[in-house]
Amino acid sequence: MTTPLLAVSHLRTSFYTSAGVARAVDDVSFTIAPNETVGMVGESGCGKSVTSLSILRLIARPGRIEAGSRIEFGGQDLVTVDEARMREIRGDRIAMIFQEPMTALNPVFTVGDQIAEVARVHARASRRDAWARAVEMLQLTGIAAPAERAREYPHQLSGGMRQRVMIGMALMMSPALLIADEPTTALDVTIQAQILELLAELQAKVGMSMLLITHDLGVVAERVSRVIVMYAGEVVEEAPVGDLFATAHHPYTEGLLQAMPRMGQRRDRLAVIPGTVPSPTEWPTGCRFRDRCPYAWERCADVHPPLYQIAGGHISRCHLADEPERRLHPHAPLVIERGVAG
Amino acid sequence: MTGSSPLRIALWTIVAVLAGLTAMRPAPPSAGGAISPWRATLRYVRQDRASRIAIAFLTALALTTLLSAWLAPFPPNDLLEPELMRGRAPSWLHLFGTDRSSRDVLSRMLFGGRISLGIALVAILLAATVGTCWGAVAGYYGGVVDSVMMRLVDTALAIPRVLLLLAVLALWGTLSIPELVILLGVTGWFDVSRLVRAEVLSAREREMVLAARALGAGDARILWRHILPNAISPAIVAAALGIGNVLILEAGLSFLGMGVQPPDPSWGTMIGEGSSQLSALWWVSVFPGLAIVLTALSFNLLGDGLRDALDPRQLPAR
Repeated sequence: MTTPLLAVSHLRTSFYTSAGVARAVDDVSFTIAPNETVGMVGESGCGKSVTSLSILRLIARPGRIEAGSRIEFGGQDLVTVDEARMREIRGDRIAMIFQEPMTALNPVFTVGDQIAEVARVHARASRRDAWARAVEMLQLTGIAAPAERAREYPHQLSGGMRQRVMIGMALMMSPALLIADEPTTALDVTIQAQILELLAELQAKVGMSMLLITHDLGVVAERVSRVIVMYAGEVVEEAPVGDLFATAHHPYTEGLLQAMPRMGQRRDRLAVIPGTVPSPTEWPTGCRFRDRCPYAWERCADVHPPLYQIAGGHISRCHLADEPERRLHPHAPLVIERGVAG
Repeated sequence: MTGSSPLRIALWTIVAVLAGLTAMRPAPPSAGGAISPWRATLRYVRQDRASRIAIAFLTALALTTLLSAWLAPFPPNDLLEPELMRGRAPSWLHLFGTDRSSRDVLSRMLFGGRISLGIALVAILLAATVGTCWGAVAGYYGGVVDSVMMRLVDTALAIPRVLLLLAVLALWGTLSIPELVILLGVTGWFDVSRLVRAEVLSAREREMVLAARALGAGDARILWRHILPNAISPAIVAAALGIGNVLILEAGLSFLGMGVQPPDPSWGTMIGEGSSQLSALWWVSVFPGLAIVLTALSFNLLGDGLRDALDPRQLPAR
């Protein structure tokens, strides 16, 4: 296996709130290889966004990346490099695009100005140079009449165009890693497809890795090679995309797949996963999914499941790996009273 | 340089026509293309009739005071024939009359306006700048910095401004005009800093700040480019509304003999000069008083218009 571009190991990010310590990301490890696209899925509040912000070290008080976490990138540990170096990495080697391009753009400057700013910060480009490169980036992201569009303000552009502008800003310095946090969630379906297509195209052109965060498994199926499923601050399953869809192991992943509408299948109602994610200030003991799980038994309440090896490159945080026969007898999720982890 | 000359009449006409046109004409319809938020704001303000009239009045005032050397029919501090001309009621030669030292009231008002408005504008600019910087730093860094900075502001706000000014003036005696400006400026920024801080607190949580940080921008760049432009509007409105206040404050201090010193005219000193003979020579005090009222009113109308344009939350239905 080649050396990974990014290796996150034992990442813990906690928020010290008045309601207690919220362990939003709790011992997460994964790697991303050069030129690879990794998908990260999970419902709201599972720690996807906090993971991505931790990589860029953009966690603000009262949040904190705990000691012992390591984020190796380009031979350095991003948890410990000094702030000046981190600023050089942000936007230059690792870039990020956000869910809602309207709120991520500054309403008082033209979009060209904002794309040019990236070149001014990282390449110390002159005003004129930076502007020329901004127009080039707009052209690259497939915006018609880029020179005119560059002089417009965010509110004058459509949602899809704004996201193209964000992509232009992110790719200005040809980063090695692009983190895309739900890049298409705020867009309508036809535009979603275009933006994903554009990202794939530019990824091939620039030669970068991508961490695609989404809650849409449909997006994942088409665009990524490997999927990380997160639940309650942990990685619960990781597999090559084909394996995940064919032989999902973790009951949470199974639930997500069943909740997804599929072509050619008539269903009156989509399946839902009952219940909600527990609060990050008090994760339950044992398995964090047990209250919502149709297979849970006593062991799930007592023993926190480790990541079991299912097949090559396929891991799952579920005791079913030890006792597969229990999968044959699902029941309504039962609440096992055991208190919370300390 | 006395009486009416063709040049003077021509200049007065030009000023009047300019002001009239400003007042009558609403903003032209959008020409399409890129509209910056600042231009959009100005255009919106000019759609509002009250703001337009205020702008027209202030434009005329700015022009007449700036051109007072050419527009004033008489030199402001010269005594014109003390025996014959003192205390004359308004007439064609002396539109606003003469005071008891036989000086022309209109001419003194034009020169006085330059001093009064100059003091008010520079003082408010100083106050808005200091207040914006203070509030921005407090709001951006938060925590202990914020607490300490804002408790200082709260303390300062607890002291009535007029009392503070009188105390300072009592200690130092009379002040030169630059000193007066500085004094009015440094006692006027507390409100602005609170407004800006509140706005910065909310602006720094916006996703665009996170996005800018994710692209490698440092603190200074983020504060200057991404937070301040989006947090400055309450400071602008407060400044516009504050000018009227400073104008009245300066007039009050000058009236009490603690502001601008004679023989230089300011509107406040002129009211003071006329106050002893208000029943006999009413025009000496009433015209400068009217000027203060109308100017303060105009700045308030303009401030209201700016607030409507900049803060959609307070907007009545368009």
